[in-house]
Amino acid sequence: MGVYIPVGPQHPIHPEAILLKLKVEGEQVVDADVDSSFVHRGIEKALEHKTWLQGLYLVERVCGICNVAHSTCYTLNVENLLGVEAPTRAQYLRLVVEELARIHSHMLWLGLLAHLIGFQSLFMLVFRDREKVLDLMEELTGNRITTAYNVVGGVRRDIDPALEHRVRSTLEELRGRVKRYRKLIEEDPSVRARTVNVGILERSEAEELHAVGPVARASGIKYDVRADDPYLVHDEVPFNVVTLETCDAWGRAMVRVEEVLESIDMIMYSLDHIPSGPIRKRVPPVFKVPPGEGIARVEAPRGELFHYAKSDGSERPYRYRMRTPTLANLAALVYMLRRGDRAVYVADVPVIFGSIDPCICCTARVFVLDERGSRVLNLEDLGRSRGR
Amino acid sequence: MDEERVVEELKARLGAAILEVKVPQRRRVFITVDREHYRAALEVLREAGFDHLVAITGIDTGDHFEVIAHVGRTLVVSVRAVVPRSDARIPSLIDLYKGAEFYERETWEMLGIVFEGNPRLTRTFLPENWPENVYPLRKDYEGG
Repeated sequence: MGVYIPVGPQHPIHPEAILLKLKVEGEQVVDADVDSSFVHRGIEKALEHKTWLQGLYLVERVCGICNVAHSTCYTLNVENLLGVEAPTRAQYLRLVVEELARIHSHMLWLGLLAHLIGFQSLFMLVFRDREKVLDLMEELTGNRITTAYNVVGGVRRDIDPALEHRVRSTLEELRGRVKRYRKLIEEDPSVRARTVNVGILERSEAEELHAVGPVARASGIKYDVRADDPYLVHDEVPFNVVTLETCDAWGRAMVRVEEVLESIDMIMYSLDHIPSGPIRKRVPPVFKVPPGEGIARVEAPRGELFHYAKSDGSERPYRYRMRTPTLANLAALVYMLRRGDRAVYVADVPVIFGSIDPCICCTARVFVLDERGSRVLNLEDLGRSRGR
Repeated sequence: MDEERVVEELKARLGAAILEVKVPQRRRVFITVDREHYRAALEVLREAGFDHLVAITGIDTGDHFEVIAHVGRTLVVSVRAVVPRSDARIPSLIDLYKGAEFYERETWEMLGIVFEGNPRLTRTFLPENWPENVYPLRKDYEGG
């Protein structure tokens, strides 16, 4: 007879509202459910009531960390329907900001991983370095997090030589720091003890569950939207798709750290090769989009992000659909927790959960019932059962 | 596989069941089939190597529903099936694409389209006090 342990919706392992319901026997997890319905905001419906331009700013607020990915995806979609293409310089600038966002997202994640395994000094160090990236973001876009940098037809601000110099020197410094963190993850016995062979997701399983982003790449799947379906100037800027075959939480950490180094190279290369020219094509604030539909995908820090847009010719979207990377990876997460063929210990749950880099406000879409379809308890039920 | 070959392959296998083909841009193919050939179209694609289900989109067009399954990594083929409003059902893809489970549940909850064969069509992310048979992404739902 197992015992059910609710983790969340408010729990120190994750600041966002999510309920992990674990069935445990002794120290082992035998079943798991996820309920992420606490922060659903109805953004897809709201978009149908906003103009295309207002929608851009709403889409950015789907997720703070991935705001650049969402606004890039949205503007690509709208530009495609309008038949407008952003100038090349704007595409380079979008790429620079997108990669800066990836760096700060991955560093945030690395800090959280350190926090989850109780390595607080690493958490502090990584967050200190991440601040430098956010400072660059603020200088470049005007905001640390919700950047509002992308606009339909281009970007909002240009980069000047003085700022370009600061970006280069900061990233150069950061490169050295990140290499240190990479060495640490590779060699530190306590990091290895907590992450190696934890949260196993074999390649075939990752393929079957349609995992995306670093989760898929740490299971050996060479899938990256930037390489497979280039949407900015990715065919002009060289980069490597980092993959590992370790299929565990350690691999996911290594993939992300390597990707930070790749992103730094991509930004440096972009700054070297950015052409001069205009940064946006002016589009009026209220515009009608010709009837039609389209899809856009970008590689968000957490993986493939997908948007679908349908226009009926008016100034508002007829339907707008978003599929965020965490939603795609949630199936893999539940599978990792309740796989029957390997022991999964309660103490490893935070690391496994953290290893997919979950973003609940992005997702806010799904919970998973266990195989036998038993009831999932909510907070009220828990309160009631305590009173009994 | 490029756009043309995918369209050829689908036409060869499904023939007149394909109601419409659109290639709006590079690496994007939209095909429309009737509900009876929705699974058949995806079986053809699955065999042709489209093993990644990107998402499932549901749309309320006013007089009918549309379900679109987007598959593929480099080239994305979107298979659209037309579902009548009076009989909102469509076969599930869960045995072809395991990850379809969540996307179908979301579409069911938001639009009330039943995916036959999906074993877990249960309330997922709308609040618990949400009334039965009210589907927020339907066009006749105005909400508050």
